[in-house]
Amino acid sequence: MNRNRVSVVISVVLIAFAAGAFAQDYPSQPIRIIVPYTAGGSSDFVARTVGAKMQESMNHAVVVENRPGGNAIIGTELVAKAKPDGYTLLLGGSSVMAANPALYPNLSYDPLRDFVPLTNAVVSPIVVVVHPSLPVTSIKELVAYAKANPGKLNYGSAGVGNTLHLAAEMFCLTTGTTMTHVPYKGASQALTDLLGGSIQVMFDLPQTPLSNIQAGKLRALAVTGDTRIDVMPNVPTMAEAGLPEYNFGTWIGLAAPARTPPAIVARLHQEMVKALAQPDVKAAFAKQVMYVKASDSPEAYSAFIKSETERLKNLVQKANIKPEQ
Amino acid sequence: MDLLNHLLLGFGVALTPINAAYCFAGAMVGTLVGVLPGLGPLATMAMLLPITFNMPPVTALILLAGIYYGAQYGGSTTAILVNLPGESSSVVTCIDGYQMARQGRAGAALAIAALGSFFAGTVATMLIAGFAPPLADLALQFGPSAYFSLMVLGLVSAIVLASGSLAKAIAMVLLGILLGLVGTDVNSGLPRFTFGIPELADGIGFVIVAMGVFGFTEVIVNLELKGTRELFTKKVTGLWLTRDEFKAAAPAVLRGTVLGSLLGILPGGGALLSSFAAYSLEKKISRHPSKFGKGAIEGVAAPESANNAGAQTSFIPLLTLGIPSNPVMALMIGAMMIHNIQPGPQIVINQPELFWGMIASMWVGNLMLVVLNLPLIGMWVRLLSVPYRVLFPSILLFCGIGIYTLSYSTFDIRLAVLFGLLGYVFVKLGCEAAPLMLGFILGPMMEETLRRALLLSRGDPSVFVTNPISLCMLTTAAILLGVVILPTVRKKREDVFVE
Repeated sequence: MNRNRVSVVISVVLIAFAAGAFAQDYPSQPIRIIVPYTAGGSSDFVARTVGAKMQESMNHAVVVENRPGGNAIIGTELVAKAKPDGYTLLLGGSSVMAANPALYPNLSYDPLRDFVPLTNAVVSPIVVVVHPSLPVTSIKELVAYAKANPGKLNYGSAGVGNTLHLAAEMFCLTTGTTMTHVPYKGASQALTDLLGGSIQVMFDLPQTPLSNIQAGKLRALAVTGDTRIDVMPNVPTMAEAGLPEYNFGTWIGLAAPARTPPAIVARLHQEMVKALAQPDVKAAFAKQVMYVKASDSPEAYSAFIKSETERLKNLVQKANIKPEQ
Repeated sequence: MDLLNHLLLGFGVALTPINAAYCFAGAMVGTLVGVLPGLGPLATMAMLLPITFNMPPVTALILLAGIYYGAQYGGSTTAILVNLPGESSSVVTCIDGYQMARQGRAGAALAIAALGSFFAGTVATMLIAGFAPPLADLALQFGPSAYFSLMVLGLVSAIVLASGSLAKAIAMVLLGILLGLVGTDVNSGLPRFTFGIPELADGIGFVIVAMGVFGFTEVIVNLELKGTRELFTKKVTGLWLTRDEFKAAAPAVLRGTVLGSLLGILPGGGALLSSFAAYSLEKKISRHPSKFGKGAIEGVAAPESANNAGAQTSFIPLLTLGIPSNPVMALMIGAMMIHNIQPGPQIVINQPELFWGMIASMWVGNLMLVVLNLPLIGMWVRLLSVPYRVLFPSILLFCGIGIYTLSYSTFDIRLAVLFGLLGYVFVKLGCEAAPLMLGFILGPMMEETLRRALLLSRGDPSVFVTNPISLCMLTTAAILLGVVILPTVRKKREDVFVE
């Protein structure tokens, strides 16, 4: 009896010490990456690829859960309110972290207050595509056409306040043109109408119209960013096409709920950067026109988010974009 | 002939042991998922996506596709047996299928659902194989004004759908439209009718309304009947179709297939609309429209064929243009991305084994499904003899679980219960749920396309008559409306729909 009691006491004492080594015991449960979009999109793809690599390297289960709804707000809120133990992470990018705060004054979360940004994962440029029937073959001609016919051109987007909408409005502000915005319930619906000719222009993420551009059904005028896209080598950058002042890109990154212990944050950052550095990951993303661009540190990512939010707030104000929630 | 070579290539790919095995697995899982109310193919495919990582691309896509069309087969089972649409596309099957079950003809209903679906699947596969690119181009011709007019035509057919009084049908359609407007408006980004509830920001889910108004209501109604409920089914008279039933159903299957194949190509409209449209068409051209709603076999055969044809042809925009026509196709794109495939016009040229392998496997999958489902009919019919006091709690339990898996939200379950109560009120008032569902689907689409068409034409309404497709649809709708309303106006008191 006595020996049992002693061993119990010893175990309890040891456990007390073990609690201090909490960070070393992480992870002991499956890690969930919440993607606030339906399965099958580019964010989902990033989460699954990075998650799979992390699972290999950490030798521990990493699962992806899709929680779409309410313009990604539902999934994001979920992570904001989750326990900050490193087991629930958010895959969120420019729309969740920077655009939503700019668009919705009563947003139920604050990206920098409710989250600890971990790292950026990928960046993606925007491509300007037009229907072949439009008599413009370059960005400059598009600007000229738009100036000569104010409001006549119709451009599609995936919704009011959506990245594609913001990209287009930024273009109009930069070039001093007006085009009519036609919102859709998703980029693919907009793309369908673009192919059919009902709308003439789209500012889109490159992978969506890619196959149709390659097949000649759509004409790509230019891409944002510093370098040309491998899969579209004949499409000039904005700078090459004569419009260096227009720049718009989207980014996707990962975050954890605020108050997640710094040791876990550091560990996650390290694992994610490691996963993103793998050549097969880089290649898989590059094929979908997403370029790996990991942040040097969680703080660096935080600063990046801040500057992007400012930029988009500016844009939303100037362009008077006002959905409400 | 080129097509033959392609198909041989495709079958060669589809019938390798591993692909055939995964096709079977997908079809089975799909059927189970379809039977379970609420849990849909989309959620299942998303859950199974990780296990496809290490498979060859064709195998992964075959598995996922199998789940999708398998669910179409499974959904009709619960619709017929317990008036519970397991899938949104089986809502229409509830109307006559359930009545057939109550008359002891559940076996026949299940049989024609399986056979009709198989026929439709075969035809649709042929269409995809032979005509995918031109069909895709046809779909592109549908601009917003054409879509709008198609919706108007659909709404007019909603009036045909109902068996009761005209006024009540119109009222239900309008109520359905109002319910459909809940959510965020596309054109302005503003929330409507959401009362600040975030779960309503994307609108009320179709499955939730369908399960509430059909499934839960039926449970409430049956419980009210108390003792008589035990004698629910007349003695089951045979598990197969009689010759007469077969003769009546065959042309319905054909019409449903054609309609479903065409509507399935249109992005966004697709499989859901096709079952409603097929039912309305059958009722309109039938010589005995009064038997619809009371167990007409055409009312099961046509929608079932239509929804399966629509489900298969909705692959066309995906495989030819790289555009997903519904969320399930978007998931397929995601799966392709993971396997480094770029969906689009290039697939046929760059990866013919993938394209033709998938098409061949769809037909193989359909065959497997009919082989799987027909013998199971006996087992399903046996389920009807379970005492109701055991059956209905199971129904409620499975529904609850199913609804929860949609968005992991208990709000959805409560909402479905609310709709169940609402449905009970409808039953007491003698109003039918089917026009409500149709209004619910069509209303928002109509509004979206109307405003978009007017936005593009800068407010000029003539765009609806100058576009040839749009004009065609509107004229048909007007004629249909005239044919439907005129007799009612003339024979004031007499109601043509009720016998």
